[in-house]
Amino acid sequence: MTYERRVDRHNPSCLVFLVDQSASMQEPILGAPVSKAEALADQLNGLLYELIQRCTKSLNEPPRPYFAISVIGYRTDPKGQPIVGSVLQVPGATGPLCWTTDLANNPLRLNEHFRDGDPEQKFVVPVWVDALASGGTPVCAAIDQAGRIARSWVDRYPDSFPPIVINLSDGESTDGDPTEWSTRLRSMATSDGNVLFFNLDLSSSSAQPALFPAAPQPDWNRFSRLMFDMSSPLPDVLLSAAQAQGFAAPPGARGFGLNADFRSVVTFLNVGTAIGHMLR
Amino acid sequence: MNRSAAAPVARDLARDLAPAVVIAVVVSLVVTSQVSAADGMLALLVAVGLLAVVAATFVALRLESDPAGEPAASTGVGGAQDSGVGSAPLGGPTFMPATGAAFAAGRPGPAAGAAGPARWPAAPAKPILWQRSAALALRHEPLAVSVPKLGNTDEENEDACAFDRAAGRVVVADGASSSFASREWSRALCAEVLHDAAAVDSAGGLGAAATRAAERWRAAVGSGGDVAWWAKQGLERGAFATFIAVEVARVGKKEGWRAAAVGDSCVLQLRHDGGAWQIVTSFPVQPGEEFTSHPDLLQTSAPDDVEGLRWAKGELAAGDVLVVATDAVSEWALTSTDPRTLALLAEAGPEELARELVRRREADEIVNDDCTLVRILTTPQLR
Repeated sequence: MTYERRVDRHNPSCLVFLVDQSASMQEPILGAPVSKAEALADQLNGLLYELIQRCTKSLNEPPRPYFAISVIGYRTDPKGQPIVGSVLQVPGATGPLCWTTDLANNPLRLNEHFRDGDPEQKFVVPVWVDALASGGTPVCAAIDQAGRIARSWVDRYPDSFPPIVINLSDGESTDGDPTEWSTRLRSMATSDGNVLFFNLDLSSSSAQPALFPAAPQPDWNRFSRLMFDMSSPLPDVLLSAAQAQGFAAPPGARGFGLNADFRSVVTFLNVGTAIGHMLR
Repeated sequence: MNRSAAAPVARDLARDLAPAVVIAVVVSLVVTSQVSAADGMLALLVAVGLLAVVAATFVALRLESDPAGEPAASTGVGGAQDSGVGSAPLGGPTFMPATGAAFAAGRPGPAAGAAGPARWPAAPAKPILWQRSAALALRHEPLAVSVPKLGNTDEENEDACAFDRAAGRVVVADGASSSFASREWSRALCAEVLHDAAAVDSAGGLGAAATRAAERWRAAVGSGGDVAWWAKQGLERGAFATFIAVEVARVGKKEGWRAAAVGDSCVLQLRHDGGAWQIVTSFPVQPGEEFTSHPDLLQTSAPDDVEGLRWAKGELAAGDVLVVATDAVSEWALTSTDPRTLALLAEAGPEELARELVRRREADEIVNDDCTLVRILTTPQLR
């Protein structure tokens, strides 16, 4: 059986987020008065928070290193050269992966909020990822980076749940056809299954919005079709997570979303990383 | 169980003057015995002596059965500084389409297994009410075994179990690893339900017991004070656990059992048909049914929410064995194709069972989870 490995300290889990930081991400997202870039940053911060919570076992012990997480931003400079690199700023990290333990202790800042506006009820919201949007969309270079991380991971943790790579993008690749890159990415594997590659298309095309479809639709444009083709089918554990969130998600449903609004970003990230629930 | 963990149990026993009760809690392999004393000091002495034996037994067993030893430091909390993970591109082949041969082909997994046996009728949603006087003391000392998941210490075992031999009651709880201080929660649930027949009678009864358990949990965990953001929010979010309580009692002229469960910790009724051990009943997860990653749970933040509570009952025949177990053991019992599996669960001694649980987890026959079971034997002279 594949995609059944539970997450523990022997077999931690690797999550890689590829975040499109191209100029078009300044456009507002459907369903909320914020830009796509801001919406993504918000949701990623919320997800990291949730994952760290799942690693927190007691008052006396820092959150455990159950997850190694990478957030890779990709954009281009004014000359069109790709800028691809880790967004997480964790002191001492020697590469693009950060353990939940270190993330917990090194947010960029803690934003203070007050529940119901009551100054007595202060709570903090940690921030690791800030919004950024400029330049082009070097998708191939971004998948290259994800592949390096995944390669290193499957070598080091050959029996872990395989790395999950989630690409969040609104634009057509500006550095070539990413198909071959994605095929190679998905060809890597641990003993528990192949690397999973999921794509959320944040563009605002005329097509009907879709989450976790099993087949492409006629009204999709070439770019959406490409992202669908690159996306892995959801393994059973994530399929049932999608169904638990109320999606039909038939067998064969892909880790793909189209014309995503604010709410579907949340759903997509939750389902795509539902491996966190396999902590039992 | 080490001494520091054992001491509070002993104090509890002495304080409660718990008649004819032994709490066998977790964290390792625990073999318990009956304490029958009206006098508090006597109970304390018996409990301390007992726990010393248990601790010694456990240490011996650990030495004997710990095949893997502790995990490498790189998988511990300190693993965050692990340079091998941090420096992704180093060491392994580079990820370049032009050099595709450098990439190992994916290792496809085996095909999905065949469908399981037919499902049994769904468990009834109503409580199984018995006359309280019908409860039966257990004739034999139950056997309790608990081993933490590979890579974890005994103090990190989040399962708990307890039995009250006089009341014929067994309680097992499995703290969710993704929640905060779930070990304390599963222990608190066992402690509160063990002596509380009402908790098995009705949803309200279980809600009340879980509410008391949540207070016990808060006292055990502490208030936090000026702590890191993650600790503060961990306290608010709290702990989650699956739970099952099983009672043996007289039903008419026969003996039977009833169970109340939230989530996927199970009771399995095993019977030897002359040739081999068979599963007569399993509850709440049926053969062929999947163990999902999102079972119903009892939670500290809303302990009286027992929406997932289910009840079931069954008749016992002479020689039947009841195994009350957390999900990893239950799933193994329900899906294993090895004919020895049920025999092990029904017949093996505590040392052998603990060894086998570890061995089969290493062989991936059992998922790497805390594994806990309590076994009740009925006698051949029962009818």
